[in-house]
Amino acid sequence: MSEFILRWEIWRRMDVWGRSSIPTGLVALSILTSILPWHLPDVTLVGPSWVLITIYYWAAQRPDLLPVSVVFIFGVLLDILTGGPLGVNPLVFVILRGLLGSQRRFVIGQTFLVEWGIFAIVAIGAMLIEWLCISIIAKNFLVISPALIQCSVTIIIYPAIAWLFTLCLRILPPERSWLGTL
Amino acid sequence: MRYRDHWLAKYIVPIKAVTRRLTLAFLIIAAFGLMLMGKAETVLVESSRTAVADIMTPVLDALSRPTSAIMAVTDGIIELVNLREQNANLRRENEYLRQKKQQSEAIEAENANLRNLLNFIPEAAVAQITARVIADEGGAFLRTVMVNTGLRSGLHKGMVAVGGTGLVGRVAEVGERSARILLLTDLNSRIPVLIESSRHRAVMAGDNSDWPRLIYLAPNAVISAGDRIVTSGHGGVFPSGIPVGIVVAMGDGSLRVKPYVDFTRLEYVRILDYGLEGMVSIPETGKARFVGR
Repeated sequence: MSEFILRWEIWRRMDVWGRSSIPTGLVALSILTSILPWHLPDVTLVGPSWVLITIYYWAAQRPDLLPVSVVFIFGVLLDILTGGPLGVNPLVFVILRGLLGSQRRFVIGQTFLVEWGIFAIVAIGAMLIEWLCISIIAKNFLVISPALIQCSVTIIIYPAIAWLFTLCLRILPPERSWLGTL
Repeated sequence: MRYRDHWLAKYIVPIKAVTRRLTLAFLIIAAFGLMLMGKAETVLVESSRTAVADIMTPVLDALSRPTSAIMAVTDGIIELVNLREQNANLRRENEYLRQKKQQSEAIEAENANLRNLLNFIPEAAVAQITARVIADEGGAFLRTVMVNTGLRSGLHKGMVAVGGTGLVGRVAEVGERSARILLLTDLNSRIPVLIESSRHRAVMAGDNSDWPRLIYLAPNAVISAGDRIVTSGHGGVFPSGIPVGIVVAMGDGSLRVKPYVDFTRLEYVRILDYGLEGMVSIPETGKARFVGR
């Protein structure tokens, strides 16, 4: 009998663990999506920033399942895989996650239009930080138009991705209390 | 917040708030630290970069195959739609190319005769390696691609990458089984070029836009839109004569180069070994730019 309870407990924990790692898994997936060569015919070279959308959404909805250290590591990984200047993406992502962690109550529970507006502001801010950092590293102000295009594409595509993520949100385990996250 | 009333909450909540802030501050400082390290371009940074790239290569290699399949399907659909029109165009082009072929055969024969007369020593055959593009930076600030071959297949830094129709860029970073190619449109790309018809020299400078700029062009240079641009071979990275693109005059009077290679559909690149390993430097300003990050 006790063995049965033990086994059941193990399965239950694995199930909770699996569902809890959905946000992290989605961030990893967004990194792959952004670096794989899609070869879409006649589409501009600049795609949306999938990782920014994913981190924004999950940092706002479930910060407990997307710790700031994980976000940092994903930033480093993205910099390495894209061959970009090291440290820029971790900085942007950590600031984003930190900001959403503390200002979360302004972001969630809003009407969708307001949520979209807030995302647009955050995306523009993230782009400006990235542009500034890379410009300083390159010692030369970069052409900002590709960044503006990327930012617009990211903002336009946000509702679709957010809708997909909302489907995932439902199957996540309930938010843990302060005692549990310690 | 069910546990707010717990007697421990009084102690744990503030501690957690402090540790959270400390972690955040630490990670922000760490990010700046990484930037400094990356800027210093230490061997450690580069070797860890290539190590991670090598680990990810099999994954990216496997995942990038279906994306080519998706490309093939979308291409197929577009082709079906335009079949009739495309056929007519191709027939016209074929006729034109046949004429060109006859001309070039005549020129080739003449060339061979003249070379014989001059005792010309032919250039050594160029070794080439074909590599598949497995990752493609679609971001706003970089123009690089990753390919699935590396040191194992004989790649090394500074080799030249060409696509079907022209120059793609150069190998900037090499791992065991992966390499990063700096595209000619990247901000850090500076390529010495020639206007093919007038033989005037210039530097083609990428700025992350689709069409790189032409800079350091002599004031008396004769150049017009549609002129062919080829590599000049100066600087010792690119051999001379690789086709690059055609000149496009912009509205503001500046000149840009429209590359022959379509970077949105770069699937395979040929990597050529000319045995050149120079650094790109710009003597006009005396400032050497780093190319391989």
